[in-house]
Amino acid sequence: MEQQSDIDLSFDGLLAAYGRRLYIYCFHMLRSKPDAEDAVQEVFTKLYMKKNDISKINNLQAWLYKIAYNHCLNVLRRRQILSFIPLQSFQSEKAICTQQDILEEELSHELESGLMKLSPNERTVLLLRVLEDKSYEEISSITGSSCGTVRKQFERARKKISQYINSCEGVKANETAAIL
Amino acid sequence: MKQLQSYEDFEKALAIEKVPEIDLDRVKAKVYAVRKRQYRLKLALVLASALVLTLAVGVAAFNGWELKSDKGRSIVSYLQQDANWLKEDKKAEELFEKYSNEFEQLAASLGSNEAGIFIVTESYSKYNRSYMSYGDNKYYEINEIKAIAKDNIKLPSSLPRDLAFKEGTVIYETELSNMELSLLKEELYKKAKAEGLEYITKKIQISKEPNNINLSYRSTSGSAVLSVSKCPISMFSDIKNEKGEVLTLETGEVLIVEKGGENASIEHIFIKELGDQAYMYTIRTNNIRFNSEELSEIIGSLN
Repeated sequence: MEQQSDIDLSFDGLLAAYGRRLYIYCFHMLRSKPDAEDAVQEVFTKLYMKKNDISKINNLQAWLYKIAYNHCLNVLRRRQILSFIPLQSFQSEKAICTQQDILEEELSHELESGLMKLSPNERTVLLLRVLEDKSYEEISSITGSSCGTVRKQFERARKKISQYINSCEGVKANETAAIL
Repeated sequence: MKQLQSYEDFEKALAIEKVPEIDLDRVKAKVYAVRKRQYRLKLALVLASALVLTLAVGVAAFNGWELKSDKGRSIVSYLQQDANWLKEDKKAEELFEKYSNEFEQLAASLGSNEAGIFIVTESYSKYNRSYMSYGDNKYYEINEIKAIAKDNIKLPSSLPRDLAFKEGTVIYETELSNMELSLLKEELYKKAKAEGLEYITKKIQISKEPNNINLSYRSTSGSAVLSVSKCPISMFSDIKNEKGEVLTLETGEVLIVEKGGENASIEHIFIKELGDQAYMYTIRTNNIRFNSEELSEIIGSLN
């Protein structure tokens, strides 16, 4: 019986294993489908360019996320410079027709607004903790910050999100009171 | 209406938010376009260098190598892995060993037209390892193998040094492309993780197209196994502490790798392209090291 220990380091294998995961991370960082796709393309182009040095990469997964993280930071910096260009939300591409769609659209908007309250570093830490279940050590190797800093950034991100939710709650309560 | 009431709601909503699908084929096509441009640039640089350099290839410390096909195209990047990788390799093997009985059960339950995927959740998560078993484990005669290979996979008529054919085995392609297979493994891993499973298995159908052919040979002085596999046009392969050299023959490059340790052997590796498909030939021998003439003869006899 044949047994194949399969460390799929082929381009297709790596793209299939990490492509979508990196895309989801980049999507939440940038909240834009085309920008997130471009980010994934950038990561895999760099992977190909580094193919002869892959042996020097101790943790390939962390390396891929690091490239994605740096790329997202650059995109966000560029966006700051070109801040007069409105951010295109992916939801605008979608036709909204059912009550469910409307609820999803609203929820996405709430998530997006919450994420936008965070600095890029805080956003990265929160996304990697929540979506990828990464340890502080792993995140530290991606962002280049110490574990202690990563831990603090995560706590700060949680706090900011909680404050954002509470402030919306307050606005909502005021709106309701005004209607009554 | 406001839907998020707490930070916990935010986390949950983030995890289940419907993110638009990524078109991985489009990403791949774009990266390939960049790679093609780089290849052309590289080719131009190589041609320019060839005007002033005479290339001498000799025995060298093996720090990784790019092996070219008979068409001169770089196909495989062999990458020397560091001590950390070797340590991870060992840990992954230990994790798999814990479930070897379960893997054997899966293997025994496979029909001749089935393959089984076996994923140990922890191993996949940490080391991206998965295992496959194939239902067709028959031994074939050389004529049967040739009938299976048809014109798609070229086989040598014989091997030198009185090595006589003993038996052959075939591994067929799955009905999924490499990309689909990798995505399926990813899905299985996620399912196993979500359900708290230590391992997960899945049976898939295999096609009639051979993906890998193994021929074993024996003589009074040694033995050899010739393995022919379809391989992607660009792939990475890890190597450990082996020593190797690349021979440049008229028939193309041959990488010779000496594997030490308990199962000491010599691998003679070359790549032949046929149409759009590359095939990797590996001849693993015990007590035999083919010389350039013998290798040229083997490669020349592929038909």
